[in-house]
Amino acid sequence: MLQAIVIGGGATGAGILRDLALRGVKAALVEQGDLVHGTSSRYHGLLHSGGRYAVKDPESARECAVENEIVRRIAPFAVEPCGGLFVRLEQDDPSYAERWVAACREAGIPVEEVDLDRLRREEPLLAESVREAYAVPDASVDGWRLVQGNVAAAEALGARVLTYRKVVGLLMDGSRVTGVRLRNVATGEEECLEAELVINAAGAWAGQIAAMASVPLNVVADRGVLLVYHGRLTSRVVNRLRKPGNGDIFVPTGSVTLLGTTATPVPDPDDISVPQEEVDELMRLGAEMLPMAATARILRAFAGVRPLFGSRSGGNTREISRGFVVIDHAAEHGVQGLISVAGGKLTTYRLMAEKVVDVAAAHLGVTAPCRTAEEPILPPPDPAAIQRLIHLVGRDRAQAVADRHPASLPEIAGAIDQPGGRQIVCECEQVTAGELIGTARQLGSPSLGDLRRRTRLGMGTCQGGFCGYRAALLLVREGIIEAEQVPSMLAGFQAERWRGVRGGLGGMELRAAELNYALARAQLAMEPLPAGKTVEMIELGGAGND
Amino acid sequence: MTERAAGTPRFRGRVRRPQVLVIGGGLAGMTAALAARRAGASVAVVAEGAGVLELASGCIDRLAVPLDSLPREHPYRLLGMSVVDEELAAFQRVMEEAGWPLVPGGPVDGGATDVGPAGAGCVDGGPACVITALGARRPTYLVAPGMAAPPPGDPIWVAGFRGLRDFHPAVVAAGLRGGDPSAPVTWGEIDLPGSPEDVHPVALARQLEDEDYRREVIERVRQIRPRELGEGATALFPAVLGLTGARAVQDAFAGALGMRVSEILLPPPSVPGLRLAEALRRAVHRAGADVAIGARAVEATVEDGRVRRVVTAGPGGRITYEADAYVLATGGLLGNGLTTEGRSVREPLFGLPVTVPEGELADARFLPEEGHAFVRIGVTVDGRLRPPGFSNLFVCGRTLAGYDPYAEGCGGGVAVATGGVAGAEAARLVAGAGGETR
Repeated sequence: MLQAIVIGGGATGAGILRDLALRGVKAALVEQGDLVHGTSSRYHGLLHSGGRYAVKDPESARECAVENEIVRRIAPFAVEPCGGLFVRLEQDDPSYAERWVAACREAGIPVEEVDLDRLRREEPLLAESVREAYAVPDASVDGWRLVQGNVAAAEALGARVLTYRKVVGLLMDGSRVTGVRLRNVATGEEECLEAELVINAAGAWAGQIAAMASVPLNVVADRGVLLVYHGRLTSRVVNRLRKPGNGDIFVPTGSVTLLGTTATPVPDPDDISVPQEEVDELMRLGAEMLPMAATARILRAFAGVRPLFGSRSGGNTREISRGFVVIDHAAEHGVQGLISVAGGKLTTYRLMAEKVVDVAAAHLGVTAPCRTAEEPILPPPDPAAIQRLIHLVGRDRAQAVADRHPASLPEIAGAIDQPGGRQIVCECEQVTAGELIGTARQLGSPSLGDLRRRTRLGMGTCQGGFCGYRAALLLVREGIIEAEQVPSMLAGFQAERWRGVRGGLGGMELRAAELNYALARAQLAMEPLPAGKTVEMIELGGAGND
Repeated sequence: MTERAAGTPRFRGRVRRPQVLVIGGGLAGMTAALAARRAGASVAVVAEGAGVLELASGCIDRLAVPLDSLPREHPYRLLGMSVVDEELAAFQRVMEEAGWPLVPGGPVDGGATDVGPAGAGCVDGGPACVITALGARRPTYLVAPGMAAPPPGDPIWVAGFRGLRDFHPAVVAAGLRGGDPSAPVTWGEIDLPGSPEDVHPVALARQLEDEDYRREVIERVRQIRPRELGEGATALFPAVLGLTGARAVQDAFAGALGMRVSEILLPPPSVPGLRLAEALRRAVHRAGADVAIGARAVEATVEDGRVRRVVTAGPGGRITYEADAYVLATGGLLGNGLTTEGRSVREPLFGLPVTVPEGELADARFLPEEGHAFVRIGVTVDGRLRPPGFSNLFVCGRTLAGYDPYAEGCGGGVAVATGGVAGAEAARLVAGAGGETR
């Protein structure tokens, strides 16, 4: 029998699973969709230095400062150490900047003032009105890779991962939680999974899980909208040096730059809609720091939902702490066998996991210490696989493939080495047929969305207009899906991509949007999403992985 | 050059003076040139390329939704359907004369041929259809040679070429069966000579015009052709059976297989679109218009609402055109006839006002039945296709505001109808100004 079940396949849940596995606890993780389909992939990808919280929330700032260094060390495959800047514009309060510098020193965040001439050379697109600039150790971190790494490490130690299984109830024996009832979202079948302990790491959905055991857990779903700009507009993360607010962070990552965010409390954690006003506001605020943000090409707009822990009374969710809480429902509410974690942020995912597993270990009688801060998540990539990839696709693309598949490189390299494996399917992100086939074979019967999250298929300039169809044909050719599945698979993929394209639609992107629309409608006569089907239903329709 | 009509002026030198200058060489521009020549004007066409024909089906759509569902500002409403149908008929005649017969589907009687939403129709006596790479039946109106879909229910064999990009016969077959496993649709696939891993459709179309290569390919296809299928059956191939010589290539396949042969529309680059572009070039050449491809109109001089001159830049340097009337057919957002500056859309050559629909630019659904607002962005014109304030400038094709060619299934029809009217209006203006004696 299992000792622990972790609910939630985001960064926190994956971190908990690995920590449990390292301490020798037999555990399984259950996730309602694909791994990382929620908040851990729907954010700006910033590995905080802590600077953002230094003035208002010194404890969070200190946690970020420490965890930032740890994550860089244990997950180099997921971190792009680009560095960060805080810039004060002419109109921003200079006294806040003074307080901020002092608070950073207090919190142990290394801060170094940057000469403005040097700044203009290094970040020429920043506004003329920058009056002060400070360098901090911000970085960008890929939520997908981080989770994939944690999960792969845990699986190697015997942990199980069940995706596309929605928790529809908790198994109760009196006031004790003894497991979870799961619904397979692809087949609708239900199954039960028992364990000594259930750990609720469902993020924005954690309140719903707690309610199944009739215990209160006040998680505020706080929706943030982000814009994805084509190309790298800055070389480093750029924060605005004033009281944190909307539209004040640029994060360059891969071939794009993200601008975030807004903060709007929403009643439903599944509400990831993108209001036009918020897009306009982001562009306006972003342009104050980086004038090009008003005109540069926007590939997509998307939203994620922060799981804030706090009272519902206030309207301004920025006043709620970004810190986290671990709730032992046995002690708090007399319900045995259930622990919840709420709040927090991706940068401190490991610390959150450590604190949760400390509580869990005490219940389970496990005394092994936490080792997640010291042990690298994955061994360095297999040099032979890297060599093979360089030989196959060249040095630059080999590196990109290695970064995307830190835990399964030999298998991916093997698939690319097959006849036709080097053919490019996604031209924007340079994804080969072999990479897609290798990834698909590991998943069984994936949706195009599952493949996108693992390979960046359809995440570039064309936003899946051409490569979605091409990838679907490839899956038919390889016998991974049936020809009959292609139309509905494409309908779901295109609908999901469209949701983001539409959010930021305007300017140069109009042309690309018309091209995709013309291709779908006039050239292929693609089917629309069936009436009554939502993007989520199609996206969640993949079989996932066990 | 022997096809050149007698007495047609040739324009040489740095300053050229045709009576009508058509800017843009896509479907609308070429149709305008044909119409203006037919009306007796001397015509020059300047174009960067063949517009977006390589993204198109090579067939001419007319209308796939009910006429009364179209918005008031729709180009069809400006012209009236009888004018649209006259222009379509004239276009069909001139293309037939140029050796590219387009076959109309369904009866044309002033709007009565309207069918349901794209993809729903294609029944006997209804509109003609082409088959897409997803095996969908997509309605159209004037069907390009060798593209007509077999009637539903007829036995079909879908043939594929391994290594050809963006095509899989099993997917086409599954789409054609439409969930009915007993439908008489089968498929097969051959290796091309040399078993290439990645074949580009245009390259393959060109190769298939080579007789030896074609014979080899046909022999391979014959070996896997299902024996039980007779003359009543149709073999469907991806649309790569030849480029300019497509009709001969299609006939060779049909003759050798003893079956009807028809082609399947592929994602771009579209071989049928390139065939139509080539046929248009031949027709316009035959009509005696002067065509300069690779020349981009970069500058226009307008005085008191009259276009005085347009300057083009190309490999041959800058050339000035001083015409009596001008037709703007530079396309929409896709064809770069409309460009974006920041978040706003402009018409770059004349700075014409661009109408952007009010409200949301796009529907939340990717493929809404009623279409998207952003594709209706364009230049608003009067009933003679003139933009406000201009006396000798006529606008046609995708530059125009007010239509969604994809949801309404009317892109080709709008290009042909507005191109024809713009060309005729331009020529009429010239005739009225005594341009004939020039």
